[in-house]
Amino acid sequence: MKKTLAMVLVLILTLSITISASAATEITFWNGFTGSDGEVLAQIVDEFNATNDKGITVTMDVIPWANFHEKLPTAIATGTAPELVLMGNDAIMPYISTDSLLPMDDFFTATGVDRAEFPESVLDMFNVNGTQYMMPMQVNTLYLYWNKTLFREAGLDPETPPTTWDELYTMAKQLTNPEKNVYGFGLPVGSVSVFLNEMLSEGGAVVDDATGKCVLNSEANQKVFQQIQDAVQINKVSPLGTTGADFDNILFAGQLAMYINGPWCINGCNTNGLDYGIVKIPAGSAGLVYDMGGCGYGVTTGTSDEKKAACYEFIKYWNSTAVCKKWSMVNGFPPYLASVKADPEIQANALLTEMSSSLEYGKVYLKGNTNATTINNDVLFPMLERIMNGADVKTELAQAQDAISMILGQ
Amino acid sequence: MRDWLNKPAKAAYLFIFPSMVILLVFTLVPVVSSVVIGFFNLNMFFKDTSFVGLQNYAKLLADRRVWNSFGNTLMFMLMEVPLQVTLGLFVAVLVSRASWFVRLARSVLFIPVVCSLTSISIIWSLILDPTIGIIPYYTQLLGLGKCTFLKDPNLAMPIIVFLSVWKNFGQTMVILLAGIQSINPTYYEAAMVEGAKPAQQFFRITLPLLLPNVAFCVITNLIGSMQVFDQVYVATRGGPMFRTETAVMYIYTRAFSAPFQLGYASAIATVLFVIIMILSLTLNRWFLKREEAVYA
Repeated sequence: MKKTLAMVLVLILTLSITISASAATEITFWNGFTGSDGEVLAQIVDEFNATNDKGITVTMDVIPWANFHEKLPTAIATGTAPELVLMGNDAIMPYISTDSLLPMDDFFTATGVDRAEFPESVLDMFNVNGTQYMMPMQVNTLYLYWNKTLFREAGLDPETPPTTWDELYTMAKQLTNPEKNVYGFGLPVGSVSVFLNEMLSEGGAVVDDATGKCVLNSEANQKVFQQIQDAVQINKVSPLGTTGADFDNILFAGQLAMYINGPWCINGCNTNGLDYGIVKIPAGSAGLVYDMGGCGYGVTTGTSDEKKAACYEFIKYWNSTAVCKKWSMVNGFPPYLASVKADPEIQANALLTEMSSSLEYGKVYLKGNTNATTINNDVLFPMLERIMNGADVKTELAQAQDAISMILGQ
Repeated sequence: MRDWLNKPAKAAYLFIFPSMVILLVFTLVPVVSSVVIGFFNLNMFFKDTSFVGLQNYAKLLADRRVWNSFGNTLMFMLMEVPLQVTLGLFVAVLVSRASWFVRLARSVLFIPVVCSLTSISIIWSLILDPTIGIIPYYTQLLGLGKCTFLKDPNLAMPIIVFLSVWKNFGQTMVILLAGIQSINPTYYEAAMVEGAKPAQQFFRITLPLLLPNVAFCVITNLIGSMQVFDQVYVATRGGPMFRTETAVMYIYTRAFSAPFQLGYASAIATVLFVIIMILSLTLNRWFLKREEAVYA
């Protein structure tokens, strides 16, 4: 009798383990969050794995962005891609044009998430030709970081950062001290972060929104790039050939007085004990215009319905008030969910409130343009580098305009 | 079957079979595939593939970055190969004598060869970094100004050459050292009896008899230098201003970054393959003639 009872118990136990094992769903998740914000992301993933009641396990693989976009196409082509991916809105077009991402138009009906929580401008960043390909994870807005210690040493008021681009370059000149290896302002190569924002706020553009034609060689842009060239070549406010990642380190080392970058630098500044401030980026003659960007969650083609549902569950978890609030409070990203914006703690944070208002007047650069990455990598970045190295601004802009027009098929 | 395999000439096929399989799968198939892919408009996602004939080849002729990258590769090869073989030969002669110090020196000089090229490139880019690097720090202290090294468009390529020579000359040294040690010492004894000076011994005995080893080093280094990639990818990513963008770096950029033009990249790779083949065969023939003249 005892033997039979024990056997039945073993059978029940085995069956329950088998059932629970079969109910578990594991999804692989790739992203390029290698910085300190990635640690917070990993924490949130762990919390989801521990708390979700559907037996979903998210296995995260963090790959530097450059390698991420090298590995993902190969993985997609060979059917070994992760189910869930996270990437910037500026990088999605090659994946959309090759049907590598599943449409997510059914997200709200499938999960019951309230669509009204999301501003249209944020959803629109990941919407191409009326199809929603990704769901928001964060909105990137750039800030101006300034080192108050270096301001004091240069005899400038540490509580008064520049509010216009002209002020910024004047201050940068005063802040530069070659003897101490101190640079006034960071102008990175291989990035649109500075010149694009300056161009937009001075009334310039790369491509005209209305006509779709390249308008790079405009007077407004010539002024912007001449200012950048003078800052590097004449006033030596920024070291040549320095990438954004290098500038992050120079900023953390206390050798960079002003720098424009996303909120992901906040943790690094805190860790290194900098006396710094962050404020919205300077305005130009056309007022304050931001290049708005963001990261979104996408599900790769070939993902089964079961795993797609698991991905949706994680995205739903992410887009909950508590998680989005945590992300904004810890990492400084402007909140986009209506419920997070209305949170008293968020409202008490002047910078976050100010930054979240930028969602209304931010511009998405080359949205839906399949050639955006090619235009950046093959034309704009090399042009910027040549201008910084002293090439004639007008000639460079004219050549770049021709090259972009050719890429756009004009 | 066993009888057939037991014949020495036939058994040889059995022994080379594993190597042939590896060679076939990892070299021959990719080479042939690359040539074929070069005739297609093919991206990394394998979507919207179409046959375009010679269009990719026509495109590369008009692509300024192709010419720039091949020019940079040629410049790298012209600096790196002579420098490495000369240095390798010079050091091989210096360490050809037997003493404990020389044996230690051989090991020390060989250390960079066994280190990973990626690690070495990272270390050198940190050492030379204008902001945090130790060398720019000392150049500034010595009043030489702030040297930007890898960020300087005129210095970046020579530094990549230096880095490559420093990493690889130990291997060249070992090959040439083996050649020097295999030369019959009676030649030198006879030369000394005849009153030949060390320089004469080197140019009349060592160098001519070392020609097969030198030829091997020159040809293998030439092939390697035409394929230079790792150190460029890690240290400069082809910059500043494309001054260090080599052919393989450009092929990689075209294939593995948007818009992921695998077909176009394969066409450039095919051209590079042909150039390397022509250069290698020409040099090989030249060295064979020289060797025949020496041994005649």
